[in-house]
Amino acid sequence: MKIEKENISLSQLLTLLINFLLGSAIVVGVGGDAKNDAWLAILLGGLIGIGIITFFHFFIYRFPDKNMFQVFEFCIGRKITIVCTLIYIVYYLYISSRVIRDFGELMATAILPNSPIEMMSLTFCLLMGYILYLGIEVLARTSEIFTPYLFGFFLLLAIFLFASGSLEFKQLQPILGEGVMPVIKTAFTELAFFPYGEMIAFSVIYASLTNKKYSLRVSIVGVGTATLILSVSAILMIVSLGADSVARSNFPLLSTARLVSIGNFIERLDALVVFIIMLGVFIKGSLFFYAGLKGLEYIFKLPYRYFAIPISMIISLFSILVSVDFADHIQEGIKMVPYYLHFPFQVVLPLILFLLVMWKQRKIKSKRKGEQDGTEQTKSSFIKETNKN
Amino acid sequence: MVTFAFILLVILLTILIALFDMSLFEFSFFEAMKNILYSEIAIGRYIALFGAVLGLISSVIIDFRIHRSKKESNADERTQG
Repeated sequence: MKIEKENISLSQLLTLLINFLLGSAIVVGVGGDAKNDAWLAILLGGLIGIGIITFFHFFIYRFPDKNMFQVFEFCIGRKITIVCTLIYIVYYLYISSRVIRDFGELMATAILPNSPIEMMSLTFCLLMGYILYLGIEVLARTSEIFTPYLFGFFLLLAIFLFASGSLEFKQLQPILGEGVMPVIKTAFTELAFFPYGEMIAFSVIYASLTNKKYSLRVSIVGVGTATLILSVSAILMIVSLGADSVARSNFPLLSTARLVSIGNFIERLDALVVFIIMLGVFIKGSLFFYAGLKGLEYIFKLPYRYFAIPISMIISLFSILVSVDFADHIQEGIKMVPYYLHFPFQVVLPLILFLLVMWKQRKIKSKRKGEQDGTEQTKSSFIKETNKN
Repeated sequence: MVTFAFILLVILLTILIALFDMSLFEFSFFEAMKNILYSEIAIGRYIALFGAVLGLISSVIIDFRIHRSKKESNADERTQG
């Protein structure tokens, strides 16, 4: 079966990165452990994110047309890579299921309380499956088209919150009241894995990029923009709800939007927030899904489109099975996922891959050098022999 | 192959979720599996299962179509050769 090469432009990469990082992070809110200083923790997390994306470019510059699974194959051979790929596929699909569950819970508890969460998850996953059946280019174009609306709605939300007078900037104080440690701890133990470490999914996507020369710059701009939006949204949540209420709220940005009331006329701006969240969740869930599909393409040597619809149904099923209720879902997200999934898949395996690539390339270099020396030696001995004669 | 991948991933993801439940709720493996199959999809069970069955059927159809197209291309090669 012929596997097609797809192309993603830099602007599409930028929007994909922004939406991916906002994804479920904006649904549940991040950096809550740093309380008032959540926005600072997010800014610090953004720097870690830039470090992470720069690290991924180590592979992109060396293997421009290979995705992560193919780089694994270059280092350890196909057989062991198949096992690693299968484990990564399970990871990607599990995270995709969790992202869809986040969105399902938001819709079921706050927007459509009488609709079954299973139905929302099923329709959402069918849409994801259909879009990926059409290809990553279609997903990238979707992201490119809708992202300006995201910025517009976010700006509108901030303006309306200001205008409604529900912001108390005093709530941000004291800044660094408990010292720098909570901020550093939150950034390194929480934000480094979620959402920034999750950019590991992009290691599969970069192979489709048309212009790799500027990909690092664009990626840094993308991470920076998403960090800024996350940080501003954290500030908006803190100054409108207060740090304690943010910690208690399941969906703090939604609660914040519900505070808007201008002249008893402009109210209930949930729709704006739901749009921002829906776009983010859709792109993030789809990108993890795509990464899983590319893994299946690598293992079975079949175009990933064949797997799109069946695997989307697996994501739909497991978004329901993943936990009993929202409390259980959050518990798993805090206690299990960062230690048993994020850490090994975002840190350990990529680091091992990095070391393997370094070792392998050094080996190839020394082998080539040896071959060159060998040819030079034979040349010089040939010249000596001819001179003697 | 698509059906095989579908079934394999369902099994692997079920095991992963069961392992998490074992660790979080201190269940035995079979208790965790029972918990996944019976209690976690109590509401809307049929919708969730309908999706899974839809996925399985679509994977079987895709496999059948791949098999048929391979057969046809082989037959074309033979007639051309």
